[in-house]
Amino acid sequence: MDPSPLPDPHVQLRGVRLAFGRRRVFDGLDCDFERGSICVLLGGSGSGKSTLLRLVGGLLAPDAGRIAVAGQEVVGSSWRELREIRNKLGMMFQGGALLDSLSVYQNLALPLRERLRMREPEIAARIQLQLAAVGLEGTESLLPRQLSGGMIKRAALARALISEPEILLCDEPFSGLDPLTVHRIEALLLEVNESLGMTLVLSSHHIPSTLRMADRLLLLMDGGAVAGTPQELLHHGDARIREFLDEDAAPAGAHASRRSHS
Amino acid sequence: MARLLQRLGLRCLGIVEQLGRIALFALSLSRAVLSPPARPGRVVQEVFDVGVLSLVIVCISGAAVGMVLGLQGYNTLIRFGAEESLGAVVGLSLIRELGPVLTGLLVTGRAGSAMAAEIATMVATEQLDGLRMMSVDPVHLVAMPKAVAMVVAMPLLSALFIVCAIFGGYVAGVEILGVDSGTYFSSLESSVDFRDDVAGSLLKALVFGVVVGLIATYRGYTSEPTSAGVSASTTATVVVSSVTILVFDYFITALWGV
Ligand SMILES: Nc1ncnc2c1ncn2[C@@H]1O[C@H](COP(=O)(O)OP(=O)(O)OP(=O)(O)O)[C@@H](O)[C@H]1O
Ligand SMILES: [Mg+2]
Repeated sequence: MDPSPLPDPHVQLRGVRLAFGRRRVFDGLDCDFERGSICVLLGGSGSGKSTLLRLVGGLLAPDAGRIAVAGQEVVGSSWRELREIRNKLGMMFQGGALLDSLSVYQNLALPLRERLRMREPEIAARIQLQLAAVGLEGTESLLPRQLSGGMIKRAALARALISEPEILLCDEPFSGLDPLTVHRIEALLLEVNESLGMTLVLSSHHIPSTLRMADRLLLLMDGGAVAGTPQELLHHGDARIREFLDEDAAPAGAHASRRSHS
Repeated sequence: MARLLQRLGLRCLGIVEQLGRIALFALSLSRAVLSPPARPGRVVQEVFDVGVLSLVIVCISGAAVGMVLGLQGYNTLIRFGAEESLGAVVGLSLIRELGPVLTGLLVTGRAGSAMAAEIATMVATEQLDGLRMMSVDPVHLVAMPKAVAMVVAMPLLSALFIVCAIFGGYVAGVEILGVDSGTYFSSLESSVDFRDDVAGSLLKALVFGVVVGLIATYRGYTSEPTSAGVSASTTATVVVSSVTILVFDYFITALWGV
């Protein structure tokens, strides 16, 4: 279970325990996200992917354990320290979390104004570029409720990326996107990873794009995690892990039995 | 018996804890008011929203209350042959008491509940967490402008309520019941003192603005991230603010004589 220590962990979790009432989500979770790498979190619905990202962002405190972002401890840090840590993070939420009273432009301008204290002409230019990068040109004046689900995802991604954080936490960036857009977003994420050296931590249910992009996978199960490269997990000794990544490896009886039931 | 005492004790502890949390929230709100940026644009927008929401009901209720006061006051005063002091009775009861209190209750129901619901919805849809991750303090960006707007808008709306009500009293007393128009206004003018009555009335409204602004933003901010949480925080805002306004009204009147 214990992942081999990585040379330069950008985000590090040690012995993290978290329970919501009687539901134990993490039970001594250890994992590392290497600097400049692309790591994809996998796991069934409710396995704790979103929760893990919220822990890293300091939005949720674990019951026990340590979480470090770029060497700074997240758990129990003061408001000021937390702000410093969050300045290194960009986070895209599963539901977008765009401010619904503000237009797309104003949403994207928020991190630039509040975090980077940029000036308006620069802000406008940066927003044009970023919206074009996610394929949302011309939506500046729309409100979030006027966007489709996939557009909200992309606007949220643009907002997370626009301040060029060191670490990008993305909760299911590919869900609800058409295949062409998936490729486009994939290319965008690979590019920021390449050119800015941004560390990417994505959660995803989208196996094909995961296998194409990921340097490392982290499969959350039973309160812990199994880490490895895609190849390692595809040939893992545990059949459950292989099945998760490779639909063809699913037990042959599954389709047959479904057919006979209907 | 012991069980009952225990439950009572727990209940009291819970209330004290809540009060402590509200006090802490009030502290962070006041810190937000003082720390830059001041966000004047957001505050003006929020004052506008509170005003737009409450303007019509405040005017209509004011006029209606004024007319009732005119009728009731006239019927009572005429027994003592004192119907010429109708203006004084209507004006004083409105300015000292009914204006701020009824405006407080109306604005709570209309704008306070909307405020709590809006913030609670932002909690439920992770919008506040999104702000936190962008290193933006949600108290500063979202709660502070709303609370300040409530404090600014309440005295203005209360003044508007009083003006509408005095007009309503005029319609009932002068136009319908035939009190002399000059008498109505001169008795109003001679009995109302600016410092004691008008300034006190505005002060009362200001206090109610603080009460409603604080409770609405606090309940929204601390709501559960579900739709049940949104409705619970809305209801609690109306109930708690209304009761607090009535209780505070007694104490302000008793202590400061307004
Ligand atoms: N605030 C909360 N209160 C109680 N339980 C929670 C809370 N947040 C998450 N959980 C529980 O924690 C577990 C993990 O939730 P999480 O949202 O992290 O799952 P996920 O892996 O992101 O799932 P999905 O793929 O469906 O998004 C779930 O069982 C959920 O019921
Ligand atoms: Mg999730």
